[in-house]
Amino acid sequence: MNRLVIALALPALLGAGSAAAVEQTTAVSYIDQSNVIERFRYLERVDVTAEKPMVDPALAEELSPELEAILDEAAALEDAGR
Amino acid sequence: MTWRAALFLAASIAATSTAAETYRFDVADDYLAPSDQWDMWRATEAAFAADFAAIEHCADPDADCSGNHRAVNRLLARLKDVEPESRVKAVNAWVNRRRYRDDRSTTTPDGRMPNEWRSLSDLLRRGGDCEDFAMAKYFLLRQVGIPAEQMRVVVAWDRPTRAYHALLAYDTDAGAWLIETDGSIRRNAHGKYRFLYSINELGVWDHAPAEGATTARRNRRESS
Repeated sequence: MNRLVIALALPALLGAGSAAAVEQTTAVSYIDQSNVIERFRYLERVDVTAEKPMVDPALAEELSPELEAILDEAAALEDAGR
Repeated sequence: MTWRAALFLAASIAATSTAAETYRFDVADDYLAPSDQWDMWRATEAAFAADFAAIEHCADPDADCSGNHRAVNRLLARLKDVEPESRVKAVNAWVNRRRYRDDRSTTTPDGRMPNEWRSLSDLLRRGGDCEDFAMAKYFLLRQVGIPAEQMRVVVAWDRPTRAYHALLAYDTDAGAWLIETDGSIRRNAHGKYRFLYSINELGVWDHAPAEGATTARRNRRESS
């Protein structure tokens, strides 16, 4: 009996699965790639030329002495290579 | 409508508009496409990869390296031992010490001066603008183990200065940090910005898609 139920149910389940897969494929293929590329071209043209904001020492993030030491070490190597 | 209902409606609208001005990493609907479909990003990623390949050998005193590359090598090696938020702060401070200059050097046949995303070597040698700073912070932090999922380079409209600005968004348990060019980190007050798009190696998110543009949100709406 169980085998009969499985035999009858399996094709139905597989059918539902493939229907879902077709739906999924349709949804994916809906994306218009030319639209995406066009949007990239638009975003590339956005003029990102903000002036450097003034550094406000009151707002600037404070660094621990350990981090300051790391940055000084890197800066020293940079200066030595000039 | 009673005055209570009106008050509730006004409060809801205010809450909605505040939420829209806070940068969030979890708005899946803004996803536009994989970033490797954008040739400008691919070129930038390749340039940074080439830089890091050259920098990797600079711990060796006999290696033929510039002072800039030796400095980056040391910075990356030292930052691997500190906690993630300290890495973010240190990289922010270090990049912000670079020279700030307008990045546009070429003119297209139609008279435009397109943006350029500079490589790390180029930024160290000649300086760059806010996009270059944000890109450098992103790729340096990737080198010290910050996951791509936790960072995006964000381009936003800066309402007070009325100009587009780029910065790095960093995801924390307490919400996004906006890592700024002026040395500050905006933890909550993101309201001065209207976000346009974000990018990292995993994708591009279009926060203000044009009519007819394809994002997950628009795609779902139109196919339903």
